[in-house]
Formats: sequence, C-alpha cells, structure tokens
Amino acid sequence: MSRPSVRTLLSAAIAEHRRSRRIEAVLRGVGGTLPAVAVGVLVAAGQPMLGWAVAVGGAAVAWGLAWHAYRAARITPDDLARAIDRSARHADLVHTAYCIETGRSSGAPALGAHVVRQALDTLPPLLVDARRPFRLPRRLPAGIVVAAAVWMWPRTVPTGPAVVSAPVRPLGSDETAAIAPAPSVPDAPAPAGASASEQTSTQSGGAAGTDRPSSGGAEVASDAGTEGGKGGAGASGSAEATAASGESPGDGATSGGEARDAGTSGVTGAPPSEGEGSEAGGPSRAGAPTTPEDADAAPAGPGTTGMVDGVGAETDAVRSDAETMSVSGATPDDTDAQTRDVAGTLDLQTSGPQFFDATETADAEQDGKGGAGGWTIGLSQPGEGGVNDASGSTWRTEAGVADPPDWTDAPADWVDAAWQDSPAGVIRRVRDGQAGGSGSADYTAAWQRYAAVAEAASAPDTVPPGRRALVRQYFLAIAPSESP
Amino acid sequence: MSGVTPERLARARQDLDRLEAGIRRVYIGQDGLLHDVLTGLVAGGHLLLEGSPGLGKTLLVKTLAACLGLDFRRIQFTPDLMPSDITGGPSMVKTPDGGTALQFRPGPVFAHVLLADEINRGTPKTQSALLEAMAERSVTVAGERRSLEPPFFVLATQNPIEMEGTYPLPEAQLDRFLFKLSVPFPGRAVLMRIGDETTRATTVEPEPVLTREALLDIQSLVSELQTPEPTFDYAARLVLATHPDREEAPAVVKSAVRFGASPRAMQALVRAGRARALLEGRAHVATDDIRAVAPLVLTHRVVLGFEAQLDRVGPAQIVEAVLAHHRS
Repeated sequence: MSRPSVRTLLSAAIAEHRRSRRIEAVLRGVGGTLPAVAVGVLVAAGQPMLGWAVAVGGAAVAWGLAWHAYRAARITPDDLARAIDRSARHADLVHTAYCIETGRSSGAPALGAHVVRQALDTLPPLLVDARRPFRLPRRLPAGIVVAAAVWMWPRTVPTGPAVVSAPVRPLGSDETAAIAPAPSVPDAPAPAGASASEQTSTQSGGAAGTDRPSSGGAEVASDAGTEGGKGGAGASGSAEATAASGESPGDGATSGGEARDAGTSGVTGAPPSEGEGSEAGGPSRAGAPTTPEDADAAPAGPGTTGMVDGVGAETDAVRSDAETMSVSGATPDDTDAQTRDVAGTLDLQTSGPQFFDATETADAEQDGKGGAGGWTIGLSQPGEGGVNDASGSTWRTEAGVADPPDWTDAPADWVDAAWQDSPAGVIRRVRDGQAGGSGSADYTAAWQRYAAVAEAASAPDTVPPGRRALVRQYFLAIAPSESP
Repeated sequence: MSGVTPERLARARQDLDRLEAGIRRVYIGQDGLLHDVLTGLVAGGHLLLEGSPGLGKTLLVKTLAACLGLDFRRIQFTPDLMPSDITGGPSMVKTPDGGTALQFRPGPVFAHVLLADEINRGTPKTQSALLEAMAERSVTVAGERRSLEPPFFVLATQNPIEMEGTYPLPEAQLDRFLFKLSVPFPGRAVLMRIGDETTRATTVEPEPVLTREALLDIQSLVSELQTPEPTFDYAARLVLATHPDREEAPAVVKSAVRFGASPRAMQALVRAGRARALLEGRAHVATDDIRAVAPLVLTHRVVLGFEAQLDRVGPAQIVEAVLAHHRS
C-alpha cells in the first residue's frame, strides 16, 4: 500500500476544514443574528416592524455566512502547511515537502525525498492536532441566551392611552342607597357572591341558592362590610353565602372579604371578582367600596330581590365608582385580543407572565399596596387593592374608603390576575352590553375573558372540585345569549 | 565525492559540531559571533568583522584556520601597503645556471584563510587588489591570471574607533563581503574566564579537527539543500524592500535609504540561509533561515541618505524595519 503524499494529506485536511468551517459559518450566522431576529419578531407582534426585522436579520445572517464561507474557501494547502509549521515549529518542513511534491523546490532529489519522508512522519499527528472539526461559535450561546431572554420577556400588547387616575367622587345618595350593610349571619362559611347578593343589593337574597347569582351581590356584600361577603366567584352558592354573610360581624367589612372567600374556595375568581368587585365595589381594586357611612346608610335588606334587579342595582351602585376610577383606554379590539389570548391559554402557568403576575402581587402585598401596573382582579390578599389608613380602621382604595378587610382566614393559595383594564371600565362595558342585551359584543368579550381566567385559576388542585363546578355554573349562567 | 544523501548531510553536521567544539577549546565566549563565522565559512563567503581592538578577532581567525588544518596568512593593512604586497609579484631570482630571471612570488593572498587586519587603513588601490581576489578568487599579476586554491576565506577587520588615516571601504567593495559582523564586548563571566584560562603558564593550542577536503565537501553540500520557492520569494522581497523606490519598501526605507541591496545580496541571503540550515542539520531551507541571516547580509549593503543621518537612523534600524514589514 503506497504511502499518501503530503499533498494528499493536506488536501484531505483542507476538505474537512472547509466542511467544519461551513457548519460554523451557519452557526455563527444564526447565533449572531438570533437576538436581532427575536427582537424584530417581538416588536413586530404589535407593530409593522416585522419586515424590517426580518430584513436586517436575514441580511446579517447572509453576510455572516458569506464571510465565513469565503474564509473557509480561501485556505490553500500552502496556508495550511505554513500554519502547521508555525504551530509545530518545524521550520517549514511540511511546506517545503509540499513544494517539493509540487515541483516548486530546488535541490538534490535525494535530499528532497528525505524532506518528504520527514514531513510524512510528522504530518499525521500534526494534522490531528491541527484538526478543528467543530467549534461552537462563541456568539451562539450568547445569541440563544439573548433570544430566550427576549422571548421570555413579558410581551405587552399596545393598549392605547395610559391609565389616568380620576379624582374620587363620593357616591351619591342613590348610589349609596343601593348599598346596605349585610346582616351578620353566624357561621357563614362562604362562597362568594351568594351572600353578597343577599346582603347587599337587597335583591340577592333570592339569588342565594339560585342558579344565577348576581355579581352585584358581591359588591353589595363588600360595601355592606360583611366579612364573609365574597364577591369573587359570584353567587351561586347562595345558601353558603348567606350563612357566611350572617357570620360576619356585619360591621361593614369591605369587599376584601369577598375576595378572601373566593380565594378560600379556590375560585380564581379573577374575572368574576373583577366584574363583581367592581360592581360590588368591594374587592380591593374595584374600589367600589363606600365609606362606612355609606354602608350604614344603605338598606340592609337581606337580599331578596331578583337577580336581574340586583345586577342593575349593583351596576348603578358601582357606576359612580367606576366613573371615579382610572379607566384604561383599551379598545374593544384590544379587549378581544386579550380575550382570545386568555381563552387560548387556560393554563395558568403558561399564561402567567401575561395575565397573572404572582410576583408583582406578592411584592405589592409586602408593601400593602396594589400590584404594580394594571389592575389585579380576582382573589385578593391584604394590600392587593388598597392601603390601610394610619389608623388601620379603614381600607382605602382608589375608588374610596372602606373598612379594612379581615384577612385572618385568608387562604394560603390564591390567584391574582394582573389586568390592564380597570374594573370600572370593564363593568361599564358589561353594563352597557347588558343594556343592549346579553348577546352584545362587549358583553360577550368580557364574559369570555373572565370565564377563561376563572377557568384557568380554578384549575389547580388546591381548588376543590365542587368550587370549580360552582364557578363554571356561574359563568354558564351569565353566558351571553349568543356566544361567538 | 559521494552523492548527496541524508547520511552525508548528517556527517557534515557532525564535522561542523566537531569544528565548533575545537574552536571553543581556545576561543572563549562570543558564541553568536562564532556561529556567524561558521555560517559564513560554510557558505563560502568572506566576512568583515568590526570591533574594538583586543576583542579576539585575530585569535578567532587563527584558531579557525588551525582547527581546519588550513594555510593561514595575515596582512596588516597600512597606508603604505602596496597591492603587490598582497598579491605578490615577480621578483628577481637566480637561476641554476647562474643567471637571473623573473619569477612570480605569491603574496599572502595565496592562502586558505586570510586575515586582513584593519583593512580600512589600506589605500583604495590596495584594498581593490584584495577585493578582486575575494570576488574572483583569482589574482592577475603581470597579465597572468592565477587562481586561488579553495577554500579561500577572507576575514577582514576594521576598527570603528580610529578614523584618522583610514580609508573606509566603498559600498561596492563592502558588497563583496558576505557578512558584516560586529564583535561585541564580552560580558563579565566571559571576561573572568578569559582572565583565568588565557593567563596560565600553559595555554590550550588549537588542533586540526577537520580536513580541507571535509570543509570543501560541506561547502558543496550547501548548494544542494532543498530550497522551496517561497524561500526564494521571501529573500527577494527582503532585497526589494531595501530599495526606496519599490512598493515593498517600508516608509523608513523610502525616506532614509539612497540605495538598496544588490542582487549579490540575494545570492548572499540564499547561500547564508542554506548554510544556516545545514548547521542546524536540516536538508531544506526555511524562511526563518533567511530571516535570521538577513541582518548580517543586508546591513552593510544599504546606503543611507542624508535624512538618515539627520534622523540618526542606522542600517540596523533599516533592516529591522524591513524584517518587520515582511514577516514571512
């Protein structure tokens, strides 16, 4: 078997080198432009920048590939031989041997053969050492990390004008009249809305135990200050709710109670609580809560009115609150987009960064303030919806002042949903939608949003199955007449 | 003479090692200088040594000649030295029959190793006589050309201190020297050894370790070493880079050099590079060999301009710039 020549070995090494370099060229191009492409795509989600981003990224990749391919292709056997000689300090042995084989050297042939033999003896191990089959480009890991960070970053969908806080306006007499202190019923455990509806709106009494508790009930409960009032999930468990409300001291506990209850029941309640909360004014953010004086002034009536009336009353009661609250400028289109997002991501964990921000909420709790950025709807904990007064006797929200909630029985597991719309704005849409029929687009959108969030929040195992069914029943009950 | 084989190459390498060891028995220190002298000897070139008196230049040449078993002559150049004192000339001799006749009497140039001490003290006419012998390896006397027996190896010295009454060698004549070597002043350790080993009652005398034929064989082997085209190309680029009107020249050459190295410098580079490769036991010449001998070959072949004097730029800086501009 004939011995390979220096030229053959160098050519084989160059071929392998070129293959490796081309792979590296691809990886370098991808790695180097991955962050740019990721940013471009991310930006393009809300703006027409996709074309530019793709163009820039593509151009960068193309440039990188071309450059590396050129570099890989321009290596000659002379270059490789010289590089090997330099690295091995062989005084041009390999290069001279290559020149001898290619007829580019002068001297005695015997010495030439001697040089070639020497080169062949030393070249294979040198080629092994010099071989660099694959080297992960340094930019690639960095590019992947950057791209991943960009993709993991919470995406914000443009929502129009920023939230602007409006001055707080006291409730009018007719509004406060709709709020009645809830009669304290001992041993009231609690599901939300039911008791609320009973206590508050004077209409919800009938609702307790009915299939369609009104969210208004929750509001009333909060305003009425029943500790057991839970606005959250709404009402379906009227009997329980009643008991709960009865248990509450009836001293005007705020809607926070509702939230807690809802949380206890494991009902995510985010959407419902928002809806109700706003109406109920209770839950922290909704801010509907009125002052204790208002609560006192309100008729206490253990809700006996029908659900529809209750809703209307609650809506009226909340209207003022809603008007005094910050209203986000989200458009119906934006809302639809959000609704679709939520509906498409019922998995709480995956949709977390976008709609559920437990971290922010937790931080907010530490501060005793509302969550940063947007409204937090659903089951609340102290500090979620407002701040305590210095005296600690009242609970101040953006919409007003109410008695501080009692969180002593607050559940360990609960869910918050950061919402960009103010509850007031949502409530208004719901109200307007109901005014035109439950099949209106606005109402349908709001229903879809809240139903999805509630479903997602009630998914964890910590929520008793019975409570989940309760939530589902509630939303089925208030479903728009024509679901899209 | 056997064919050029690796075995012959290895034997030459052993001979040179033995020669170097023999010289070191007598000549203390100056390792770099000794290596350069051996390189010039193997390359078959003449060397110009420049250094202060007492640095061992004459001792080095005498020791070298003794170790080679070659005929050694010395010429002390003075202003009244005549060309015939170097080359020899016809002289009146008595014939056996009682008559007289002119007979050529060889001068000291007819030797294997010639030490031209303080060559810059001789007149240009005398210098040219020696330089002709160096270049042509022959002497023409009274119209008759007489060849010098190989190997013919001239080591000239010049004293850079005394400028009074000297005749610096013209550039054209300097070009005939393969190397111009500066003899450095020895360090303290070498001085201590010199003080110890050369002042004893009995000193070490050099002994022949190499025959003339062996030296000639080595010199002939040098030209057979494999020299690839890139090595020639590198040598050519270096030579061209010393010319201010060439694009290969660095900026300092363009501004400070009047005339660059001649094609003879190219020959010197290749020969010296081959000799260096042989001394290192290699059968091929590398660009590093060319690079290593370039300062020795080019320094005295570059003619500087007036700007160089103003800027205090010497030939050594010029060659350094050239080498920095052309790394390989």
